[in-house]
Amino acid sequence: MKAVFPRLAGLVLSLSLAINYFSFPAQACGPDFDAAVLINGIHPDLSLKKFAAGNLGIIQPGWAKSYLIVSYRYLNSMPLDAREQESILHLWQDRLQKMQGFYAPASSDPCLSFFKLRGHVLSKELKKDASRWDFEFADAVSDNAFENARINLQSICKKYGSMSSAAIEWVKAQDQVFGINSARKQAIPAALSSGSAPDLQIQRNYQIAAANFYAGDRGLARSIFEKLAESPASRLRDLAAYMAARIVVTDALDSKSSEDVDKASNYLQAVLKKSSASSFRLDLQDLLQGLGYLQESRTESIEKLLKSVMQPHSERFGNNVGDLSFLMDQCESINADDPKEKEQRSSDKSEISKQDLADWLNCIQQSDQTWWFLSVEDQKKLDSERAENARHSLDRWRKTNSLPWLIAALSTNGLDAKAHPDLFKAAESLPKTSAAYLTAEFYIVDALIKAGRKAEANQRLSRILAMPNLPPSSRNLFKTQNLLVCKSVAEYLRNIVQNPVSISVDIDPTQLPDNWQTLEAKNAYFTLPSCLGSTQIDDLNRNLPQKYWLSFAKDKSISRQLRANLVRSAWLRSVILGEESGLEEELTSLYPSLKKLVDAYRGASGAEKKFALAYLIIKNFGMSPYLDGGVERHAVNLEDFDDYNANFWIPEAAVEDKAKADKSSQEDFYNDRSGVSFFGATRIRQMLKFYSTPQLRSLLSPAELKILQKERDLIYKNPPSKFLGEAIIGWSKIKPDDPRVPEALYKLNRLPKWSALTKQGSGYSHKAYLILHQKYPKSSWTKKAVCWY
Amino acid sequence: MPEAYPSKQSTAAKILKMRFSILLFLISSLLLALSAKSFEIFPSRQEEDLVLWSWESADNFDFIESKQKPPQIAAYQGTIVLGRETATLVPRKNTLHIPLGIQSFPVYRIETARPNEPSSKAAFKAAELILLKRLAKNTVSRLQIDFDAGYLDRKVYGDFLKSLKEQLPTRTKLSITALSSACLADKWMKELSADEVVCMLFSMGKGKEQILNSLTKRLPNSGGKQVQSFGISINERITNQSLKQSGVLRPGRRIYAFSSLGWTRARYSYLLKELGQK
Repeated sequence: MKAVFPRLAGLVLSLSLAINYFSFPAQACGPDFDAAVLINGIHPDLSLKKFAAGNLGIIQPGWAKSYLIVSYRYLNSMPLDAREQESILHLWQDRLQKMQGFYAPASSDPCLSFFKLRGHVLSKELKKDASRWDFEFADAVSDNAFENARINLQSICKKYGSMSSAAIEWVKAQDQVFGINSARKQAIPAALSSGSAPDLQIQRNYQIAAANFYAGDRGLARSIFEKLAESPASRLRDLAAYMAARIVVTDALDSKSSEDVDKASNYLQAVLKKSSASSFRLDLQDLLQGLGYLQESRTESIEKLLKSVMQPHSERFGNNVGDLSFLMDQCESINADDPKEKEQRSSDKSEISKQDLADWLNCIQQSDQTWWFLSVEDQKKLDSERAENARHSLDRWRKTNSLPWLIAALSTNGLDAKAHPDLFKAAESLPKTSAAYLTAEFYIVDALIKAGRKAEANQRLSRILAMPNLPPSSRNLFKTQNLLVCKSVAEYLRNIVQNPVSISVDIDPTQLPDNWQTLEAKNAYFTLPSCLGSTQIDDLNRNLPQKYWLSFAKDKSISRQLRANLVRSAWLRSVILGEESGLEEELTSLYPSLKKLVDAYRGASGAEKKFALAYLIIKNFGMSPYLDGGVERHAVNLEDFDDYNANFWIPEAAVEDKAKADKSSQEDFYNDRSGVSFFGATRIRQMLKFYSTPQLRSLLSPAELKILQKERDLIYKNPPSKFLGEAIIGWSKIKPDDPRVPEALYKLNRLPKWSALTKQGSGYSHKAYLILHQKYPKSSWTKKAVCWY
Repeated sequence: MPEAYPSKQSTAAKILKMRFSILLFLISSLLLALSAKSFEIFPSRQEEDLVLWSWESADNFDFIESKQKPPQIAAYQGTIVLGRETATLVPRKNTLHIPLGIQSFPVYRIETARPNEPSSKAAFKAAELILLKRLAKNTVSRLQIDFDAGYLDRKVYGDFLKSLKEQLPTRTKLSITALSSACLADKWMKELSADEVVCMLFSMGKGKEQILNSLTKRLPNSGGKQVQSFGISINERITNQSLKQSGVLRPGRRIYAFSSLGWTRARYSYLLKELGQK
């Protein structure tokens, strides 16, 4: 045996006993916002069943290795059989759940599911919004333990009734096992009397064994588990056998003796022989496999696993992929400080790269993220490694002519018909049925756009977008490309509307929707109601003439929420421009709370009409002539104040400020109007940045451009303070006893703080302050106006 | 003569002693200043002003050279999640090695399971008990609490800090983190029972430009008597450049630094370079 025991002891536990924690770069603390995910950059789209079955879509370099390994299998025409698909799905779902950590939805929380059932038995139903954090239990209790306990309790409820004394007694004993009390203190429950039903005695003995396991008396726990493993066939019997085996492995690891490891291996093999139908057969195999790693160096284990994941029909395919990706990730040297360790990792990496799959993974995967920090030297090194990977991928493709290397060559080099005509030709010649087809098309279109061959790109995209069942992220990527090559404003507007694959907290590393586990159960793609893509959002806000805003707002094919935002912006633009929009009916039907205010506005005339309009706007903090990509205003309602400064609007400059646009930083996710989140490879991020090049003006006629300029001038000259201020102050002089006036004045007073601090806005704020304090000294609104801005 | 009134003679003796101490201090300072090496001992920026946040990553600080005055380590110990009336500690999962001679102190993050509701007094009380239990074994020089208190949590958070401070040993300083906006405009933290407020100048989100612009006019502060420190991230080069230009990262300030992937020698060297220490 090689002297690798101490290093691998922890590894075996990590790999086989459960990967409890995935290291993910720490995020800075701060408020977490909801954001729309239009493109999944670190994993494929839900349901992953579609992906496991070979619907690869556009293969992304930011995907985790396990997804790339499956892509490699399909690219090599080695599809996964049903058992392999099932096992890889199990791995992905398990990993995603663990990665979610704090962001895991309550609906999929095994801990909460247990407490729900427990509450039902004890006639203490949980509140609807209950969370795992509302309960006290010992730190040592894992999610798996909660899940097993829930299954055990469910079986008792089914046989004896959910409020039976058998169920209540079981719960009381389990509370001791899990330490469900204010001190979180665990205890060993008492044995049941010999007259109790045999199945209840088995349950209680299991609880006693588990309690001893938690208490650290592994010897006693093992003997009880082993006795239970002899009982009649049941899930609990299988679980007991697994627990006994787990104790044997843990003891062997603790003893650090190769003899004990051998004994543990023999023990596991014997259990496996007896447990051909066990529900925990795969878990037992994992334990055995883990012990096997102790006999090998890291590279030996990786090499073995590289071969095994390419063997068809493996029962353990998913877990082999899991172990392989875990070990290969360990070879990344980004976080190694010790020069020896760095060197070791790097030598391991080059050693395993002799195998095609590892070589391919090393070349294609770009697992960097926005929040990575690299020193200048690190960045240079990484850039040069990537340049080398690009060259190597091209070489490998030219030598092997294989699909995986074609994709690697495209993904690492991009596509340039002039520089690599052979690559371009090979990409173009792929049939629609090829697993690489969509990926190749994505790079071909990119090459055509960059070469200025927009008509060809448009033609290709029209064909692709007409395909049914495109993975949603791929569809959104193609639509984003199409924004640069469309032939008309109508086509542009069709493509800027995209369906998110998730609305997620912007720092949730999985970027999954709350109910993802329910969605995973279906064998269909999942998308949410449409929103706007963010790459062209500034272009849309600046360069779409009002007539198109009006027609866009009337498009009933888009989601209700997006249409509500559109109608609001289009209507507000019209009133700023002094034009009739005919959108009032739509506005009140989409925002019923506005009805009274809109009616008051429509029913008034002259100065009162102007005031009613200003009052309608200033009462609703989300009123803006501009739209956001993805989730607007942190998902705050129109009438509510947004604590993070997305209230009212700041007019866009009448003429582009190129210097300001160039200054926009790349170092975090936030653009001014982006409620979109993208986690994924830098290369895709860079492509998306390129796709934000403004296009709209090129689609407008000279006459439309003239009108657009006039509209931009007018909106620019009417910032909210001026536009609303004149009407409010004017009306306060005409009808000072109008009860709406003090509120409107107060809001006018605060407006520079809520939108932008300008000299002009400050002037109106000051005027409003003076009128409030001079004419309405007793108003509650005046008391709130303590200064001007 | 009643003992409560010191004699004139003894007061005079004390003053003399004090003068002697002052004289001794001045002489030693002069000698130190005259020694050529002394300038190397005191770099342009005092390193004790530098604190590295060790967050959820496997950090080994062996790379810190002992010949220099080392930075302190603010060691993340875990997150306390507030339930309806409970609090649960999710402990740090990664290893941490701090060599002898390097000072460190614990940091606890507080999260609430229901960000849109006010947290309860009972939950904060439970959090307090967790902290006091964890701190009971050793007296620490400082304890840092990292909590993004929402508007609805302000009162109960203030009460929690007051109670916590009262129960901590006198020599344990209480440090809290603050969003930059709270140190620029809405100074609701000024009354809080904390010895130090760390203004977080990274991951500032949509208001970033506004905040960076306002920093050119005034330095953020909590508005209270707490020591004002600043938190930066080495991931944000452009932000840090702006902070340097506006004078926030000037020598003499107490700076906390964050690294999203954890700390390595290269990242630490980069930080020192950024702060003008190497």
